[in-house]
Amino acid sequence: MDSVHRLNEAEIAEALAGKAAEERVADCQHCAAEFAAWKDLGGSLRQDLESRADRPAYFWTRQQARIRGRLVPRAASPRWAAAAICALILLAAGLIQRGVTPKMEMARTAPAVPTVQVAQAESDDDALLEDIQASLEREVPAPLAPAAVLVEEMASASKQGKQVKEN
Amino acid sequence: MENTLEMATLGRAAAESTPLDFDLLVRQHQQRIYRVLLGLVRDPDLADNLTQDCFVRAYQKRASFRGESSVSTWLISIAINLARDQGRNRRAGFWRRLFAAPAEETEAALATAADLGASPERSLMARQELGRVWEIVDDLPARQREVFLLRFAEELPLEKIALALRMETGTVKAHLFRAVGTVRKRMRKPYGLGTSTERS
Repeated sequence: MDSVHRLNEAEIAEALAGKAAEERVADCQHCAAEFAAWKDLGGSLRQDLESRADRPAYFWTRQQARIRGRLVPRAASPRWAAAAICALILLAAGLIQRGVTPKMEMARTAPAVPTVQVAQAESDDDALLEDIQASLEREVPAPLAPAAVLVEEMASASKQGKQVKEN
Repeated sequence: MENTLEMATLGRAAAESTPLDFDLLVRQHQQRIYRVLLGLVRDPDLADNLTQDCFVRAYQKRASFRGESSVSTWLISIAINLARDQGRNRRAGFWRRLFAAPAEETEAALATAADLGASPERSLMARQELGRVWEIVDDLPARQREVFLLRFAEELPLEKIALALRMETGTVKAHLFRAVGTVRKRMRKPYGLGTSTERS
């Protein structure tokens, strides 16, 4: 009975998975050699990975700090702070806009102190218009009224003179 | 005992919502999670970021931890999910690796050579072989790669791998079987895997 044979993948997987299988392949010299090669390969991979993962102490400390920083809830992240500032600006702008508009409307329809002034101005205007209307209705403009009186007196005087002459 | 302690800590953190309690878990597991993620994504910066994401997610979901697996298995499960999400953008990772890997590998090779006292040439050859293994592992389908790395690099038993990947143990075996087959096929000549003769 020759115990030399080629290991199949299942046997290797089994052998790598437990010591019982390792003892089983130990009867076959070639199997044991191949199994040893696989173990060497695993050892090399492990050693290589460990050497690459072997980082200085500060690396782990920094990693711990970063993880801790991400676990502790922040009071306010910069993004939220920016959003809050934008919201405040918008709110303030809205309030200012609201504050200005009523003032402008109030100025347009303001009923308090300006009412008297406006009424006074309107009565002055009415008086002026009445004066103009009166002067238009008069045949002689107001500035020429004295002259008109003089002309009327002169006219009446000459009329009286004619009547006297006729009599 | 340690696991019980961790579970108690996690339970307390869940109940009291105290990040300070969670710090202990971070300190205990961060190196392993980083190593697992580094094996999966092969990018130190990305592995660092994903490690942070892993613990943040674990903290957020700490109430869902029911103790069905160990805390480390639970964390590995979260880490693998994050790596899968990241894996959808593997093209970017490819370009990053393409430019970053040579310098890192040379540096690591020299460091290993110095540690082992081997000749630089011999160490460099070993590194080249190892680089080839990593290439093959990187080319494996995601599930096979995860199983292969957890088994080889982390030496997790199949039952824990099954818990971490939320699979049946039989499925894990099947993935490991396929992964071994692929690596064996591609590494046969240079690494001496699968060189045994057929049963006579």
